[in-house]
Amino acid sequence: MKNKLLYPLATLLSASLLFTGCGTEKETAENGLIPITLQTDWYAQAEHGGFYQAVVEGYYEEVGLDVTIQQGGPNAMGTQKVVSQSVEFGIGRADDIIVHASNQLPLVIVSALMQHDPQALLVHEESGINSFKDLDGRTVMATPGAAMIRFLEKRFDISINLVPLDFGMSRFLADVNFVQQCFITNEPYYIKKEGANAKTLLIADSGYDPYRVIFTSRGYAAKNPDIVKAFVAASNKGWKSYMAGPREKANALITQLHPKMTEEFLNYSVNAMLENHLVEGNEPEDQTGLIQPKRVQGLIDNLLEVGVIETAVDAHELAPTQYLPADVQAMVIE
Amino acid sequence: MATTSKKIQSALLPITSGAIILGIWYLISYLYGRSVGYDVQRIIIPFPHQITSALWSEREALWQSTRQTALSALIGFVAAVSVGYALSMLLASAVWVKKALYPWVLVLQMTPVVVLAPIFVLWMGQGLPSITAITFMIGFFPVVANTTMGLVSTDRNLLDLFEMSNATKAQEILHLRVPFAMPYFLTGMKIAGTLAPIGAISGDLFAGSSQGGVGGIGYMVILYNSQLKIPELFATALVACMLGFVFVGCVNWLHWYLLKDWHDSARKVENT
Repeated sequence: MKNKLLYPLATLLSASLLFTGCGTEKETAENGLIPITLQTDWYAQAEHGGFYQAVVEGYYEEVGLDVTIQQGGPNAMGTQKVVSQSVEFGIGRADDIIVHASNQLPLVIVSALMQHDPQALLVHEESGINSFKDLDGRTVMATPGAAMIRFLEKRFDISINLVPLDFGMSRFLADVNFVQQCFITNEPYYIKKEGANAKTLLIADSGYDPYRVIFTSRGYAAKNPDIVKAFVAASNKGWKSYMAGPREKANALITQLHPKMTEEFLNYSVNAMLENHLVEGNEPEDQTGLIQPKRVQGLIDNLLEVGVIETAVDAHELAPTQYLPADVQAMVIE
Repeated sequence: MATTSKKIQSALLPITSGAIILGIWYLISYLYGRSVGYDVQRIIIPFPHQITSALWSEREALWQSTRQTALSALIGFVAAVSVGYALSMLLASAVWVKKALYPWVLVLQMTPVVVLAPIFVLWMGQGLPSITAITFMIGFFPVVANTTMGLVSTDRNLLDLFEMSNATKAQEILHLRVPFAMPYFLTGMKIAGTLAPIGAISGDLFAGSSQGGVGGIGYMVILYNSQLKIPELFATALVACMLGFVFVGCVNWLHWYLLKDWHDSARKVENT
């Protein structure tokens, strides 16, 4: 009887211990470079161009890093992976990171990726929607739970019927009253190709202007400040170089990874980024990669004011400027 | 006396194993939390009590989304059963009909519903019509396959008996084939009943919306996941599981109720 009971129990217990024992510690590879993984939010595209530029130009190797860019997609789950430290870095919008941080997730923003987020709402000319207020009662296809939509609802006192983003364009093309989340660098290209009359409402124009950022987990940053600094510096160099051009090699790599990215389309995206000064910003206090604590604080205040977050987040703790390259850091206004 | 202690034992066993599983869960959460920190543990493998407290704090949203999903499951299920039954009658009416149509029913079945889902959404928009259509697609084939099988495999001897008594075709179908196929149909219905809540939840993943402030269970899954509310996500899984049990329980009861008076499978067998 004793054996009958003990044997299955022992098996279960040892199995569970085995399960928890799986660590994810990475070690330095034979070539002396430290392996780092960046999880992007989507398949390779121009909006990740600077990272690919840093890869093809060898900027990461120069600082001793062997960077793998893991392409995202509809189920990228970058935040989850970063928090559980199965990848080192992720990219996303500053407002979403603030919301996660106010939910006690140990995340830290280490650098800006773009001074202005390309997120916009795509509407048909015929829809009669000219401002955010006109969205009241409309159906909008967007990421459920995204801070941006909740902010719009509260700020403009409107009610939006949200349907989850399916990352397709067919429903937009089929219905003139359809509204969906988009990147100004992305969807309008296809819409124009299909001959539809569409325009965009840039979220940044609503008075809500989050950075696009690079983030990591608090634990990783605390343990490896030098690696974080190196990664930020090389990525920053990559972005400056990508926006200035030439970018043929990086674009060739992007096309190879994601064949839907034609040269024509990549050029469209880059032009949209340049025209709207998304990466480097258009204010004197803007700069590629720079995070102004004042602006982060403003964003936190915005989210608190409309009730998207309930607990305040410390801007300096969430987005310290210590990981920025020295020349960028010099522009921080305290 | 012996039977009572056996009954107690059979009740104690699942409770004991449940307690052990719970204990192991706590142990894993605890060890994981110790190695990576408890704010990370909470969103990877939360403690069971964190899940129950999420269940409590989200009870209103989860109750509403469960009601919405239950409704889609019910409509899809009823449609699958009635359309499936009607189609089976048609297929069994003549050999040539079955030969002409059955391959196309198979084609429809073989097309994965995840591929059809975006097309349904394109045609019918986001919401209940698309979700029930997806539920219907998942549930209707087992009904058709089983019922048709029952209708065409009626006992040869009984068919001969009806023929000898000069029964009409209508009489043969109504009084022989239909009752004979009943257990087959009900088996198909049971399978459709098991699939309906799953169909409604996956339908909701594709076609759910926040109409009226809160969506169905599938929508809540997307929402909680994108907000990294992982204990809430586990709580949603718990609710979905309970919905499945309730739904299947009702269908099983119906199965038993319709067969209890005449079919061997549902009658209490004597002399156990």
